[in-house]
Amino acid sequence: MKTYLYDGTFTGFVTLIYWTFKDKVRPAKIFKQADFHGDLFSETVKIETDGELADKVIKSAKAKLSTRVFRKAYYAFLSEFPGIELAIFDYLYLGFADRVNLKKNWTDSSVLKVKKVARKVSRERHRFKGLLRFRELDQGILYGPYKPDYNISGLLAPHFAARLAGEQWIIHDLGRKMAVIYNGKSWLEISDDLLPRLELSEQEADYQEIWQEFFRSIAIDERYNPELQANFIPYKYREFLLEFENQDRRL
Amino acid sequence: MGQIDTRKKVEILAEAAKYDVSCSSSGSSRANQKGGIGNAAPSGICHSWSADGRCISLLKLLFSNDCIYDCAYCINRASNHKPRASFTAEEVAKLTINFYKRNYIEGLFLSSAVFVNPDYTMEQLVKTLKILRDSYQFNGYIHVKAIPGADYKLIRQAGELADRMSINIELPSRDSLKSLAPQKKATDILQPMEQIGTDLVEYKEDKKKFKSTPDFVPAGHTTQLIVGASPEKDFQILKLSEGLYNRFNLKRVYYSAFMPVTPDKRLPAVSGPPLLREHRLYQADWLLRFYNFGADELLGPDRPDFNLDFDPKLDWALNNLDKFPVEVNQAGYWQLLRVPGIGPTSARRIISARKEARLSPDNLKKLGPVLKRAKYFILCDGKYLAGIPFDPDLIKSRVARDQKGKNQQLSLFAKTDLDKEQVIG
Repeated sequence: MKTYLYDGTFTGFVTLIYWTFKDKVRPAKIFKQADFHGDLFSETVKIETDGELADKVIKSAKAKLSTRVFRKAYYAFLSEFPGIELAIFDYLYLGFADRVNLKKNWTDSSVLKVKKVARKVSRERHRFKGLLRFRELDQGILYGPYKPDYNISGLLAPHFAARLAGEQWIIHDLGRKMAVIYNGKSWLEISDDLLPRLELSEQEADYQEIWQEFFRSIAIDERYNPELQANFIPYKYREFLLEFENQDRRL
Repeated sequence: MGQIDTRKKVEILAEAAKYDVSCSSSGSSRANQKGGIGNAAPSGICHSWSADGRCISLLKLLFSNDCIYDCAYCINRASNHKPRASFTAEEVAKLTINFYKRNYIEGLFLSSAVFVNPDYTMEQLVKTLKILRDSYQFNGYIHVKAIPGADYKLIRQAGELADRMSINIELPSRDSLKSLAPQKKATDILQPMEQIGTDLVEYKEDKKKFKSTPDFVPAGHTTQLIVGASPEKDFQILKLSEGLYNRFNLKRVYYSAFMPVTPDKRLPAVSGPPLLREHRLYQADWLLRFYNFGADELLGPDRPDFNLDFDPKLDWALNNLDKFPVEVNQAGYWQLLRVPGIGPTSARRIISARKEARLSPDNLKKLGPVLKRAKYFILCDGKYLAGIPFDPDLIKSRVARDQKGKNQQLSLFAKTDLDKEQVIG
């Protein structure tokens, strides 16, 4: 029984899939290297991340299992749930080796787990397509800070790259201390200590105020229902929503 | 009119637009163009929820609230003493773009009171849409009102620029319209609706032949009915909706619980908007559109209003127990859909999963139907899962007991004034 370690990236994880499938071994445990503090009893295997091998796996998964089935594995991975790697391993193994039709399977526990977790990630992605708020900076750059539960910045980037194609923008995941930056042509994930100094544009305060005014005016008093509102928009999402802020405008 | 700034106008003209309930941004898949800004997502995206729990997806504004009509139910009626304001087309366009860039909104919902005259009003709306689409190259979602009584040429022009159009019927019968909105003619509302429905089909046909044909309201057209301002029963309202879907090719009918905004002798005295009734109509409307129910199956002249205790599907099932229980390993899609607790998603999953293996009660559970409700109406692998004999009276009493807790949750949407007081406390 071996414990497998990888560098924490998706490419690293898929390289792990390549080697374990090739050697026909099911890892006892899978850890990100940074999360592994060693134990005396298990033998460990360190996986060297290899982009080419990972590409091979991804291509063949898309061809043999379908893009949708593979996307579920990717989304589940982005949840960063402890132990999710092993469920994804089993999910892919069932599809590749046992030829189980993953799309139609609703009974196997690892398949169910991957689908369920993937759905959570997908929901959060959808949610933030609406809830991310950009602030305009002095260079006209749009800056969107947030703290998602899952690592979804890379999933949001294509959406905003299509929609705000001619703008420059930053999506800043404060929890993970990383950011996606878009320069009007393509986007890139970076560590957030590389971000420039941020200052709001002159007209930004006005638009924030008008938005808050709109938010107040559009509610119908006779239907006042904060519980229903909280159902749709739990408090944890409100930190960066300008319309839930009182008067202080911060970055 | 004196000079007032955009913020003040937003305050007045969003306030004036808020009684229009439609806020959907779905159904269109407009792509962004090179050099443009925005696109439309087929699934629709909600950006926020206001204090009444309604979704905010579009910048919902009236172009003007300076109305020449005096409809009894309307907050903008001419005789109401309210501050009046009007935007300029450029002002609305610029605000839309700036909100959109900041990801506050999915697009624009532009309506207007009838000011000067219907044609002039419609021209202003078209002008705004043109600036957005042409000057700003905005490819996000636009919902625009067709103004009753405006030249259809203008309405068609707007339809080529917008994603969705709507004309509100508001009052669900000619008599009520005559009594409460005497200056509006029913034909001015129904004629353009019918024409939009016809054009929708024609543009789609043309587009198959000529690629250059523009899209015409690709997200469809809708309307709104006020519930409770006039004496119509649920049955009459639902029949009207069914007719609108079938005859005018409508995408959605919205229902708005009536609340008195101006005192008028012709209006009923109510303590609060009939929110639960509105909710039941939405549920039934859903059954018409996605569950293949007919209005006549749900209600009839002898039973003209919905049961407020049970949702319409559950109510129907309890009144049709002779059609149950159904075996989930055999029942067809439409039959499964009629089981309370089974919706389109779990029905699809059941059908796909049972092809792989016969469903046991354990497997069924994992597919996601609400078994707490479904168990009274199904057999799974020959077994009846309710733990009681299949006896109509017993089932009805059990379901009623199960619903008790649920009806307390109803406060989530059916907030009465009393509750509101308590909440503000």
